[in-house]
Amino acid sequence: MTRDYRAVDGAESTLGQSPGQVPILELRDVHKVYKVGEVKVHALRGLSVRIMPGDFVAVMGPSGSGKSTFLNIAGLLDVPTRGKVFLLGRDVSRLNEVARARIRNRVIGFVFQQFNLIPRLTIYENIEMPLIPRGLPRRERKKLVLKALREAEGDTSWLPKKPLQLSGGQQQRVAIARAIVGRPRLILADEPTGALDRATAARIAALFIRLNREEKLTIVVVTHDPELAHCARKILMIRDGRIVGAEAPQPQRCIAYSRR
Amino acid sequence: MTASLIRILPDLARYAAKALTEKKLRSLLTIVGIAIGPMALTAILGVVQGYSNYVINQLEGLGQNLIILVPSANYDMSSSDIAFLRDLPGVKEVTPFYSLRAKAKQGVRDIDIAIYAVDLDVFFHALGKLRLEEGSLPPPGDTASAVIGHYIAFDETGTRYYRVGDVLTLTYYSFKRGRLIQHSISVIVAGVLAEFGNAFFVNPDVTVFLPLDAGPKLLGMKKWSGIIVVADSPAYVENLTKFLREVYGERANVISLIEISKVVASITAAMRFITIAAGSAAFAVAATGIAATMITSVMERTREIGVLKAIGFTDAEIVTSIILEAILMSLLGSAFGIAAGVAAAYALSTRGMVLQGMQVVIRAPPEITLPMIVKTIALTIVIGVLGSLLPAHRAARIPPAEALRYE
Repeated sequence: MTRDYRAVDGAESTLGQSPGQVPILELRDVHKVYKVGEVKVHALRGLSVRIMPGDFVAVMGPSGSGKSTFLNIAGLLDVPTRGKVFLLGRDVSRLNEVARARIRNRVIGFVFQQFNLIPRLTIYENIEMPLIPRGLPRRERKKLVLKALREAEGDTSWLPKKPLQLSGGQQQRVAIARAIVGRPRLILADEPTGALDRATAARIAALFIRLNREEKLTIVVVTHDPELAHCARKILMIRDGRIVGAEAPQPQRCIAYSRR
Repeated sequence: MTASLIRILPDLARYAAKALTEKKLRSLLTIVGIAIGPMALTAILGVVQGYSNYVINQLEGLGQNLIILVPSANYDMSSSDIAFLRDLPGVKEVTPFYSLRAKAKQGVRDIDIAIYAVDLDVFFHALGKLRLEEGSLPPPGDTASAVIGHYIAFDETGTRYYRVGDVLTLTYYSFKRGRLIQHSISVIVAGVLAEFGNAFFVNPDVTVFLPLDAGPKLLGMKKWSGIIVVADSPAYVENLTKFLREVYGERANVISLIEISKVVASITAAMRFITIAAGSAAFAVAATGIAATMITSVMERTREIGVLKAIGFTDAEIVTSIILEAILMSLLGSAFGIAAGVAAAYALSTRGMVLQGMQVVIRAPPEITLPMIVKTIALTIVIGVLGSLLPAHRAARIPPAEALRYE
């Protein structure tokens, strides 16, 4: 395993980017302490990272290393105990709930391990959901939904169906369509292949690669799955609430290329 | 921010409606629970208001400026009473009357009737609503001629038994020296009254009206049954009644129809109060029912609420969607409840209200008004909102990061 310590020290990630560009996401010395009853749990201990526009970063680490906490704080679902979070160069670590919700809605798209589609809504309604708080007119919403579904390599015949009528891989495509429907700058994915078989995981990995290359989406994937991590442009290792190393991925180990 | 919330309200409502359809049975049962309050209110208030309006209308039709004095057993009324009453300010006319209960034949059937011997001109003048259908009022001296109520001449099916010029035989009882004696008298029908409708105190439809002199001459009565006082205007009635009570004390009962309608109105108000009090209990139960249902549903949807927050719904938007869900249930509940209440009100009112001792059955359509329906719906919605506040607060407080991990 070759480690790129230079990138760790400055928490720089400048793959293919010109220096001086504003990072999409930056965490500076972020600490997160949870209180579980009387016990204080340090989930993050001074984590710093920079994600530049166009990046595709995989964050790997064992269970309890702070992966999920990192993703929650990066996605403005949680606030740091200490440290700062910058999104598009703006300090967002102390914003109120409404402002954070608006930023989540416009700048970030989430993809989850369990897809988290709303079972009673149709596929169309699920993908449309992030557009509701924006108050867009119906026709515009429809255009965006169809575009997102196409980009996520979904099929329009799914639209009137309910999530449970689709396979896991199809559901994850729908979830990805929902994540990108609002044209966000940043996709945050939490174990997106964790609930899928290998062949399906390969297709989802290929989809992420394509969205990153063709749609210029910045993607951060938290995963256990090395075959997914090697599809990224960069792998960051997290341990004990800190980034402890970076790795150049080996494309031949990427599931999208090895299993197609 | 509020403006954008209003803009997305239709979409939130659609989402809330879908949430209701997910657990159909549970939503339905909650809606039934909500419906009980509006149903009870609509049914009971509608019927009570219907009866009350009917009674008050009847009483007012009977003569708002009438005061009736009925002597107690140990007091006899005489011409000095008449003279005293006639001189009181605000009094227009005074006439004594004789009354008793009797039976009359309608074919083979005996019907219960009342006989009133009274100054017919004064009486018919005071009760403007009384109309002759056929014939005319007999002159004061013609003590064997009578005006008979509509339902003596006809039965309920419209079959005619008596017409002008026919002889009507009346049977009644009296005590003479401690012995019960049956009397049979015959009168000639001089006029038939148009249908008056059920009424209190005097029910003209089943009454035989005779000239005043028929009391002693035909019926053999020595004592007046009472005195009818006609006031110049209904405005004097209350004070006159009060004054006459002070003068007569225990010696006579002073009855005014306006007063009775006031009593009925106050009874109605009391009944309405009791209904609303009992109804509020149903509403309180509905509120807790909504709260219980919504809390369960919010907990079941913890993860979903986490997802909504992750994709950018604000707490206010989530709270709104939960409250909208409760409002939708309230609207459905009040619609079902009011519909059932209206049906129940009509069912109840066709059974009628029997007034014991007065031989009167009141059949009045329920009075269900638009303001009443609007108020009921508004109240139900308020209850829905109250019931959903706690669950909505719960939902808003769910931290998104934890909600997403929730199993």
